[in-house]
Amino acid sequence: MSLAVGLAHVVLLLAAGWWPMRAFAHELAGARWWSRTCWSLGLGAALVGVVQVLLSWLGIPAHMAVPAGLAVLSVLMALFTRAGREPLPAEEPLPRLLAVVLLIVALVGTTASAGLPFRSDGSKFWAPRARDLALSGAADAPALHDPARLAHHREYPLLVPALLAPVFASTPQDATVGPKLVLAALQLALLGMLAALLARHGRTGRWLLVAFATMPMLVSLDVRESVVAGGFVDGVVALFLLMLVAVVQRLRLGEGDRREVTLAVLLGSALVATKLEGAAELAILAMAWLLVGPSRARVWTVLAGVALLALPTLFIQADVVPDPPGFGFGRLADAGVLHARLMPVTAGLAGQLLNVSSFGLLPLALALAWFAGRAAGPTRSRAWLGWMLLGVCAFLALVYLTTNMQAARHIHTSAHRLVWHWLPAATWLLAVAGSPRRDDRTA
Amino acid sequence: MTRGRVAWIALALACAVGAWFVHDAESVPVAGWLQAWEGAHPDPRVFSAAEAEQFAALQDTGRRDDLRLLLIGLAVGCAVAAFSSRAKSEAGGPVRAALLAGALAVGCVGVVTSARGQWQASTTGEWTLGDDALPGMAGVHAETLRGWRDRIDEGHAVILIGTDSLLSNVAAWALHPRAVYPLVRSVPDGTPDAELREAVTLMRLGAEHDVRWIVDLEALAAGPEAARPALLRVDA
Repeated sequence: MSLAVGLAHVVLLLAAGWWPMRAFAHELAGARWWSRTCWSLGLGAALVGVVQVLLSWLGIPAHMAVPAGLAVLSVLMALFTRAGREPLPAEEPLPRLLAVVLLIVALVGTTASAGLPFRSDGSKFWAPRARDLALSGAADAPALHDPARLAHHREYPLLVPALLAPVFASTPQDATVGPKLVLAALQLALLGMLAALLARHGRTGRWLLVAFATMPMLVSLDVRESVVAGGFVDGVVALFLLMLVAVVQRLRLGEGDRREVTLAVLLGSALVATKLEGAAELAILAMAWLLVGPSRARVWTVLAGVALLALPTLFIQADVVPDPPGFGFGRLADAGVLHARLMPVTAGLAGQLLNVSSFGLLPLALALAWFAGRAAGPTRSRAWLGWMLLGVCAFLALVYLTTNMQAARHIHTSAHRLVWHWLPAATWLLAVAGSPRRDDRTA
Repeated sequence: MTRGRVAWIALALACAVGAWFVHDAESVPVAGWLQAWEGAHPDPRVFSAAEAEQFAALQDTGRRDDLRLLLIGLAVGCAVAAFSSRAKSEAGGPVRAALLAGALAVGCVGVVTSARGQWQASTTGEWTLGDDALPGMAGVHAETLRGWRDRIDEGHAVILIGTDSLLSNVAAWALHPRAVYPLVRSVPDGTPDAELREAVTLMRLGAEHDVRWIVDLEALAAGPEAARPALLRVDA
């Protein structure tokens, strides 16, 4: 029952994103059917999630009618409007060995995600929030407004809980497989989308794809190392960030028009509505875009659109009972604290490069690709990635220097998940920088 | 045999030997200089001795696992770079071939470990595609928690007393949508039920509900051997 409801919900998300994919992401999705499916699912999740958050802010419980309604609308639009743009040239199939590796990882990762119950933050935070939102809107959810009730991170955005809520509402009380299948499907969308994007960049793209797909965290059952088993939402952040980076790359190079701006606004607001870190990640991306260009005309339009669409999330956050602050920014002015934390934080973050249990050999492969890419000459894509990585390092350092937790423990429990947000986008941008186009070169 | 191939073989052997040693190690401790630094400049959020020891053991084991996987991957990768000219031409050079093969080896370990773990979890009921995940989450307490749902009305409040966060999460999951209020402290042995009821009544926790219940997590964990009941009704 729960499995069937989860599957039906995935189909509705896919249908809800089908027309937006055809109309707005035609070139990005490419000609491969599975790539178009992945983009449809990603866009459907962003669209349905943003609408569910808006309705939740208005006091309406999350309901299956929302994805169903958007799916019907999307199918009608696809039937009665002209297809997006020019037909795309066929793309060559993936090498057989690579396809087999991807299929095995997809299968094992999906069963790991769907078959195990929610655990850790998944069980005490994300799943209960989703069950609450199926019963009442965010304005009335008691766990968000009664300070004595059991609740964790009340200030966190609600896109994923609102997305999963209808599945919880339509399944037996102790079932978790349906909601977790939705998370697993979004993880698959991320893998498929990245595979299609990387496959356009020849040998470097394929090589990086193998390094990415063999990361143990894609299949691991260990809650700390895994992105799938516990029911965390970091894979959804990684998905939205990859899509946003791919869209902004077109806008940056002056290829995009109003359709790409619309996509960037939707994906940016979905990112902000998914996790607190999403807003910081959007800011890092926009700042690097402003610094590198070359086409900067759309940055402020996109940011203004995101701010508007993210208003429900911001209003909900402003209305909840605040948790005790997790960070003390006064620590940045305390020489003693900085002295004590500088070394463990630097070592802990650098240690992520050798976090083989989570990332496999991908960090080493990315480092190699970065240095090998220097031979291809300077490009704006590479500079964009460089500035973004600098921004990410600064953000992570800020988080762990000012945390109210013990810094080393905080790094141990969360750094790999914050790094994971950027890995798909960084992997793709390194492949792009390794096979640069003439108009992307800076010299 | 070329000099390059000899170097790759030597590297593969060195990594394999290293992996063998690390495999037998219980843990890999943090570098001495970092340990000394942390000792001389303690974090402002100080751990208790027991917490510090537990966390250090967790990190040391994780470091051992990372190093073992890295060395296994590099050993396989270097061996492939030494012997497979096809891999080198496909990947675009020996270093890329070594990383590619190493990544595949690490990925294989990950996939096999996951598949085996899922299989084992399916035999204990923790892994399921069915509609009942509670036994997987709550283990032996699943039936007790299910029974409480019949006794506690959905409009009642539940006060969870205890420090076991895992059991607290599971109880909160099982009793949803009842209002759950956590009280993170232990009930001293021998506390009479009436005294516990009175203490909770004085706290006014969840007092806006007509009926409140106490769930004592320590008593729940102890099961039938518990000296006091795990579920107590506070208000008549």
